[in-house]
Amino acid sequence: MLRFLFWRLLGAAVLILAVSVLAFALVRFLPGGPAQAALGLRASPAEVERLNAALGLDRPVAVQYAEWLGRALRLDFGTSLSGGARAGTPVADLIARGLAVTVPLALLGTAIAVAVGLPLGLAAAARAGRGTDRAVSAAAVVALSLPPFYLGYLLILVFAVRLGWLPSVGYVSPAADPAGFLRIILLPALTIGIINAAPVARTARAAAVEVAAGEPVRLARLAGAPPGVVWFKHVLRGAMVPVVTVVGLQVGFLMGGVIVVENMFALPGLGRQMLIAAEQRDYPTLQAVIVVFAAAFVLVNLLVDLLYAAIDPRIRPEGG
Amino acid sequence: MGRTASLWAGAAALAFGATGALAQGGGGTLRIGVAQGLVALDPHTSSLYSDVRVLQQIYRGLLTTDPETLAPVGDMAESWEVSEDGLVWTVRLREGLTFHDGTALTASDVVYSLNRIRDEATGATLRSDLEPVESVEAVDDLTVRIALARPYGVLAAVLATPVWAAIVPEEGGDLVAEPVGSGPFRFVGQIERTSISLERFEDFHDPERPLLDAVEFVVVPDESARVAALLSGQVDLLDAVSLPLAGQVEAAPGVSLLAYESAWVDEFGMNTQRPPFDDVRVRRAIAMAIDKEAVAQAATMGRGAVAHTMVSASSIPVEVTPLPHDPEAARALLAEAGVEDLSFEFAPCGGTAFPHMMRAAEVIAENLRAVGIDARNVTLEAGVWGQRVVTDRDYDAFVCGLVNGVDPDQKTFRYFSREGVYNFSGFEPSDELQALLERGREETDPAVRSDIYSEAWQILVDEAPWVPLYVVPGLMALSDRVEGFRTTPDSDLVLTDVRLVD
Repeated sequence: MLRFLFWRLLGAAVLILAVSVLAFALVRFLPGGPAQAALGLRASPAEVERLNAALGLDRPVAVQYAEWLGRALRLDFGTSLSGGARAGTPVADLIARGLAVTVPLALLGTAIAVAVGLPLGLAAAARAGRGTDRAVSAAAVVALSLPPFYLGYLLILVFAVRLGWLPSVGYVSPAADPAGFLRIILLPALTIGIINAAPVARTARAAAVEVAAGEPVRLARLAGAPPGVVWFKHVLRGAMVPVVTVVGLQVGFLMGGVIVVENMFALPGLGRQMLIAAEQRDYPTLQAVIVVFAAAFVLVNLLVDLLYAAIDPRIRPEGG
Repeated sequence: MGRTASLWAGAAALAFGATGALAQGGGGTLRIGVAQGLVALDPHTSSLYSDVRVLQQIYRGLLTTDPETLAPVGDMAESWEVSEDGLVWTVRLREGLTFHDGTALTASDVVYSLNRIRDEATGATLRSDLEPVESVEAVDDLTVRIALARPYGVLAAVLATPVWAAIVPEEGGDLVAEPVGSGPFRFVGQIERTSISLERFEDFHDPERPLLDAVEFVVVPDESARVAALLSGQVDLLDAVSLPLAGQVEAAPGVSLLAYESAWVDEFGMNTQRPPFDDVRVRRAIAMAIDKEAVAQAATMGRGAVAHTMVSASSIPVEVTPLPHDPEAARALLAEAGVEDLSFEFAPCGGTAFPHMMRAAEVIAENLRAVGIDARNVTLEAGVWGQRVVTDRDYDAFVCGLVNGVDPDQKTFRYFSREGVYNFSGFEPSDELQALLERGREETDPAVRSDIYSEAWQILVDEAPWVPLYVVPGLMALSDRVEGFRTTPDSDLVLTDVRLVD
């Protein structure tokens, strides 16, 4: 188990490192640059060059990367290169502020996805081939094909404009007003949750159908176990492994959704930090946000692998 | 109960209105939906639309533009005088002015502010507009003397520019951390890129204004979500509405669309330093090939008028005889210039930020194809566009627009004079045109200036470095609860008389 963990962590580290190299190169491919963005279009090339030199951006990219990596390992991501109000803000602060919004949003979104998707998937499996099953499958296809901005707008129209139940704008920090924060992230979390519920439902259904047809369930039934016990003890547990996998894999998709949804609902999360940083050519912030997103994806999937063992004792992770 | 209360409020307002004893405050909190939030807080260097709309509530200058006549009128200044020879401007401040932090606003703050704008190190937006200023000095606490190198009639309009000509405290702290101005509203705080809170400044020079108690800017980056926030009553005003959503606002109950004549004109510009656009015949051919009616119709979705100069919503009328739309003549001119199989790319500025420009570009490409020019309309990301067109000047043509300024000088000198800081068309004005542009800045008589700019623009129409296309319709949206709101051709938010009613 420990060996497994060691190798997986090493693999994760290598992966994150690779993403950081790629991100470093990619953000520098963007035309313009922080000096141009900060000084505006009126700036002369000489002014831009001067600021670039002051920011250390005139040195070879490899040297810049080595320096960045050295600092990043000590969790020092430098300071923001954006002009104006955020000039000189430590990137770590921007990330922390962003995470304070994005993590609760992603967790609530995932919780909604599982809370909606899992029961629907199991219900469909229990009535495989019948009306309920067809309805769930159809709903899943519709939800999967909805772009997040469209579903988000639909929810705004219904719950904010028509019914007036929930706010669609007006962020308050969780520290200042926890209830208000929950209200403002409810619609965005619902947007993410509904879309992500679809793959959860489909996976749960497929897995449950398979498990239900398997030997252990048949034996349990023959032994006279009541259907409730059969479903909860055998089918649900068996179906959990693929469901957890899909939730883990969905994290990548979730992050894309988070960027769109945060923009739609004006939430100052990591996704918006990323958009702002890209627009301002704020290399250090952009770089750090990309690495944080990559790290989140890798770590969640590592967690998923570890969860397998907890859910199904037959799975024994081995190293190598 | 609610009804009685509002009746009382109405009666009270009537009584006060009748006696003129209107007091500050009591007007509620106005929530304004904006796209971006504060990015740069220094008034002198700010340039973003959203920033300017926020900062103009906090900062004030010596003069301001009267929303009705568009003429400069006193703001922090009580009055001003220009000497016979036009070389000395003496400005008298109102008595008892204070900044938001309680310190007195005196002539030395004005001197400091104007010199800060003139200082190259500041990088102020208005620096080149104050170039004729030789010195600024405080005569006494309430009097400022501005000495000019040559007569400069435009100075009043320059000093009336919101935000960019702001008076900032000489002894102020860090303006970027905490803005301190003398405007009707005080900066309270912000959640970065999310919301900005302002509250009424009790010591504003007008004892009767502002009526609002507070103003909150709510950042909603997505426009559909912004309109939804207005429709659901979560915000009361939108500082801009795009053309495709205008209809939705018009049709919705409880809100209205505010359409106004803007100072924003879009143009098709050519790189006059690069063949074949260095040949005036080619530029004229292109100008005549473009069907401006069709371009205006498509770009503004039928809401904007054709423009023949870049000057719109001006206090000084500018009249020209436009080039006709004549594809046959265009072909003939191209043949005369010996240009065959002309092929080039052009892109609207701002990436995809200005859909009206993208729609205009499509029609222009089609118009040019009709006279045998293969003009390909491409989309460049905003930063790339700026790099190519403004910085490197490595381009053939573009579609862009001029937004600010109600004085014709502001739409002409910077772009087409020899000293023009934004002359990225590389246009070389004739001696005649250069002389006109210089005289236009010196002259103070509006009638004479009207003739000067009409003449100058006739030359620019005939030389066609840029082809003015259409006036971009100014559109805002507001809830029916908002009373007393006004805007200007520069899309300023004039909030001093605003209050919310039920």
